[in-house]
Amino acid sequence: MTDASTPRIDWNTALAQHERWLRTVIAARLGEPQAVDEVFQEVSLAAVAQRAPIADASRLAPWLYRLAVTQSLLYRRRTGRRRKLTDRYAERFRPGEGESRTPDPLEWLLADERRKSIRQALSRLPRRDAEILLLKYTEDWTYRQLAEHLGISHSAVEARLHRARARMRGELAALNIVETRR
Amino acid sequence: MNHRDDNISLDFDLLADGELSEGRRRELLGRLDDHPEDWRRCALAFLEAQDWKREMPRALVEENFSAAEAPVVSAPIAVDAVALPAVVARRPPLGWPGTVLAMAASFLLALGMGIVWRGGWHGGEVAEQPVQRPGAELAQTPRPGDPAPTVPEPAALQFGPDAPQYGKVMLTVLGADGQERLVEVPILTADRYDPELLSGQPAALSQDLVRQLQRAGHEVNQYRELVPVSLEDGRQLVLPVDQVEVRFVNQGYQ
Repeated sequence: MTDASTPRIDWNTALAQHERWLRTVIAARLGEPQAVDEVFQEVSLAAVAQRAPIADASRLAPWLYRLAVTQSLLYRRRTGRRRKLTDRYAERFRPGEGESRTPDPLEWLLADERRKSIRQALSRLPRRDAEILLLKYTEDWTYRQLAEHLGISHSAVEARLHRARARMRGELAALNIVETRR
Repeated sequence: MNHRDDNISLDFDLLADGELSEGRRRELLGRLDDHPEDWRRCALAFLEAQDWKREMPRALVEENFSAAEAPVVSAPIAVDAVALPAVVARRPPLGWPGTVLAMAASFLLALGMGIVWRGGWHGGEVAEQPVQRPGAELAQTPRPGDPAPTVPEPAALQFGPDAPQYGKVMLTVLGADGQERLVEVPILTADRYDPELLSGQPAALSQDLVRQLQRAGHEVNQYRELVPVSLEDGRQLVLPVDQVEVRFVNQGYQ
């Protein structure tokens, strides 16, 4: 329920304006494309219902981002058992974090199956890493724009992107090794 | 990965993203002069960024993450059989609250709408195919060599005294080539929203045609969205819109 202190927002317009990148966030968080519609609908309803009212209309994007993450987590909780199985599988095959070798992107860049390996590598990344990479490369946002939408600092964006890229390269290198050995 | 590697990798990424400050940029270029072997890594960082920028949006679209552009449905310019007022032209965002509110409204269900538009955010490799849906005729002349479009049986339609009221409406559809085309769409007036009736309609491309394309080395993906359109009299028109992506993937003989 809204009160006098809640800023007035035209939710149809606001949701239309932010829909695309919020869907990307949900897709990255869920890894389940068929669930994106459902979760985005939940986000829209929660935004309109204002159960956790927005205090500052100028911070709408980070507020919607948190809502999208929360609704994605709730969805994952609802479908938790199946999710745990797949996550455990992904975890088992994830390359070690402390790998001494710097993954060389050349092998991947020369590969025919780049698109397929991108999809596979993304699906094996931690959700937060996939999310920031997808936002960076699909929305083509600057670090400042990423920081504004996610409600984090510029240096946090830099650190998160750096970590996500390192993991992505590790996954791509691992996939390439598997493909080469076949 | 040692500390120097990690730092220089970060700097290359920032450089490729255009986020490196002028001071750090100068410093990095100076370091490259001392370590010419790092130019290779620098070039790879740019190539990698270019590839990820191109491939990640496609990966999203191929996975049907549906963050794609809105389809192009514009206002109807002629109405026949059913008196329809002017229709709101733009597609509202999927999952918008109005969709839920519309559940209680009177509905017009478009039974024959199929629109093909360019898939992906960056287009380029996606071929367009003509679409033929039951009861809907696109203002399009078949070309020689085109596969014969399949007209599936309209099994969901009923006739008789108790049958729902059918009509038709003309929509102006803006194609990917920028040309407007008139499309006649059969519609059903209903007092409730039944998504299964629309989602159960046959796909834009018949199974035969999909198999032919796949045999010829193409990957075919079809996605359907149900697009609500508000009418001025408060009714909702729901259009099934199909996206078809046909991509040549067989690289075995290149």
